[in-house]
Amino acid sequence: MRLTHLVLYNIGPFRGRHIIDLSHTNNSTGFAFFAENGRGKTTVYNAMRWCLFGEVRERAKTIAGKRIEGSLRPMVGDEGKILMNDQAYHSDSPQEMSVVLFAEGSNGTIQVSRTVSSSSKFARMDSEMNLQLDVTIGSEPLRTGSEGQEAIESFFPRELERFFFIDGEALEEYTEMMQSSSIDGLQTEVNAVLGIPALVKGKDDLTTIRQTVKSKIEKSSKALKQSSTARDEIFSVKRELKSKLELVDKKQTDLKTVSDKLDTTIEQMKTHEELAPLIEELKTLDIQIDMKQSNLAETANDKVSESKYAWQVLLWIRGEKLHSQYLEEQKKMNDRERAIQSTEEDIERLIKSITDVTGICDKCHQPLPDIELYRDSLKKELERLNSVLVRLQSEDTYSTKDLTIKLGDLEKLKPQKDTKERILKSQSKWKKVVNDLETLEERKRNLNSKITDEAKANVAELGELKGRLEATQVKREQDLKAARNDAQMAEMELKRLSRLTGNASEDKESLEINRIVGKLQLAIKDTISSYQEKARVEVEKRSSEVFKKLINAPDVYTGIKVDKNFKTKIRNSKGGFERSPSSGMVSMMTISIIDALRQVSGIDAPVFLDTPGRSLDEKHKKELLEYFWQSEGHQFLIFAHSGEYGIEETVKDFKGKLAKAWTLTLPSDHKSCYLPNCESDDVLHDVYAKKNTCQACQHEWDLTSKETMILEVKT
Amino acid sequence: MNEEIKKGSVGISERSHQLLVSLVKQDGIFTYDQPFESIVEAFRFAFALGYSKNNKNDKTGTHVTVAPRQFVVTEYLELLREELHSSKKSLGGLISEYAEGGCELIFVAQTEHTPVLHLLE
Repeated sequence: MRLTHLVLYNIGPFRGRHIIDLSHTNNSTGFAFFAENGRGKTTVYNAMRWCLFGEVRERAKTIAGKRIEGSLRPMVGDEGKILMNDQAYHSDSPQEMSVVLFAEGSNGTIQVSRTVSSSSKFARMDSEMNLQLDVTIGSEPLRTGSEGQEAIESFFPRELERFFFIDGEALEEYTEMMQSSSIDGLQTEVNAVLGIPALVKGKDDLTTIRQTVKSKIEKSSKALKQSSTARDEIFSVKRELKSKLELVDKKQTDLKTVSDKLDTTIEQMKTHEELAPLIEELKTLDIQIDMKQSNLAETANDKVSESKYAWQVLLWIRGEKLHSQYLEEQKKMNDRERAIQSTEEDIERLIKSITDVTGICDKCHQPLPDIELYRDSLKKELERLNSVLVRLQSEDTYSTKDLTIKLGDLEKLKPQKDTKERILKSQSKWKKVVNDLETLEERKRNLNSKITDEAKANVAELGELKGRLEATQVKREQDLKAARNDAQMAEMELKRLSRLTGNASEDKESLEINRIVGKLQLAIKDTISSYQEKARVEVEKRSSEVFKKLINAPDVYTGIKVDKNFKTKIRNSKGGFERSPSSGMVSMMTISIIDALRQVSGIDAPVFLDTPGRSLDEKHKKELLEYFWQSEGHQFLIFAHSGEYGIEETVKDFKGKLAKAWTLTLPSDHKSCYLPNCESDDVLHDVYAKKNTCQACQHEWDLTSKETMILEVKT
Repeated sequence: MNEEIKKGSVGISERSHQLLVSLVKQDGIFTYDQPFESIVEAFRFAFALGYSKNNKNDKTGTHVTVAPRQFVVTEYLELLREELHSSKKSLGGLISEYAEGGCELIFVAQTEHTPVLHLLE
């Protein structure tokens, strides 16, 4: 795969759109970006990583023998070093950043476009950004999002990223990894190159599958056990069910018998249908007669109770007259007694008057005339009164006491005012009830004469029988229902047990899978071991070849030793190992190993080497480019500080191998006109306006601008 | 007025007694014209009826005595005092004659299907 174009938009110091044309016509594989610090070398390197994998991490670190991944670089935000161009982040709306990469591969043109734009007016964090990934490979349809990412990783696996994006500043870390006894050496890398992570994952997946299968087997074995118990139980449940079904049959027969009898009885009753109203009437009459009889007893008792005083009513017919006579007598007697008393008082007063007469007037105190005549008249009156008194006293009559007793005795016989009416009323009530009862009994007799005793007995018997049969029918229906329920329960139990026995066949399939998976696990384990060994040999061989080419001193160094733990050492020509190699030598060894791993991986992709010459001396730097910028090889892009590689020397030294080169500069870096067709040195420098103006082409450039320019170097 | 009154005993003819017995209510029988609780009540009614209609009858043949403890003749002395004076009969005897007379009237009423209590009218 060869990169043809790279389009940067608002990323790092690159404001706006910058197109880097990597296409070329010859077979050169070398590409170089030269820049001072802070001009965006690493940004271009990172832009490609971001475009392919959607993330850029800080440099990884090795702590206590473990590789710790660097933290993610944010795309936007007010903290940390963001990927988006500062001015675009602060000023644009929407804020947008994108990288588009074009390449030619075995399947045709590859185009990868990754864009982020703010979803809110002013995004302050990555979560407020919308990401759009579009991938086109040859004539295949456009793939976006996760499908697009999958497509990228099909030609550029993420786990191999570090063999293609090589950070020169991190070479020491690689070296440490290869030589230290405290870390895993290159094992992780070798595994990644060989796709062993996939195998290991496959192995893990198989372990999970095997666990699932084992659990299925256990389940089936448990079911088998349950089935065995169920088989034992099923016999007795079947027997039970049989007897319960027999009982259901019997109950059904019983019910049918009673239902048949009931039908027959109802049929028989229909033959007496004409008697039914008469019988009904008789029943009604019986009820009425019963009620009347109870009424009769009540009225008869009332009558007896009231009759207790009938004699008083009769006696008083004559007794009342006598009672009145005695009352009259009592009145007369009282009058006589009052007359006697009054006469006696008059006599007493008269005697006193006769005695008290003195013949002198009380008022005038003069002697009264005719006093004797007056005395005689008083005496005559006294005689008359005495004779009246004698006559009164001599009258033959009852004494007061006798009369009171007599009246008392008579009054004991006196009836109460309404006694007679009450008695007659009770009599009449009783009589009415007697008459009613007689009428009812007459009607009953008449009805009875119309129904024969036999028919009556028949109807009564049938009615009674019907009632009994109906009750029996209800009971038998309930019995049948209960028996059916019992049988149903037994059936359900039988089904349950049958299911247990039916489901409990030995899980042969699972057993087979378990066996195969077990074998696969072993095979994978063996494969991994075998691959690792083969890879070790292959990496050792390839890295030795690269190393020898790089250092170009076959008499002193014969290659690289990669031991079983993937620790590396430099072999010397004496058959031993270089005990204290120079740092440049070690860097070359590291680069050799990395390239060997890349070769073994078989991935056809460009290699990006950031700050390639950092720890190399001039000789090794040259040898490095000599080796990597071979014709017909992979594209090899270096991002070099001008202190590492001089632009002019490099262009000159590697003419024919260097396909294209660029400088990354700020406008203030240029004292002469930088336009490709001008390059005039006649520049007017305006200190106050902080700008330069080319006197030849009048091009002006702002000396305060922080926007990096990408200028192609003539090769 | 304090003349001696002979109490005497009360009794009625056997026929009248049977009549009075037939007028006493029997247990469980309610359709018969039997308005009295006891023979004494029936006797008292017969006496009162005879007295009210002033119908006396001297009993003939065997007679049945009415229980003296339950029928106190002196309770009716004031009604009969004058007649006792004039007739020189005993109190019980006079009452018995009236009772017998009352029974006669009841017989007649029964013959005419007149209820006993209608004799009050």
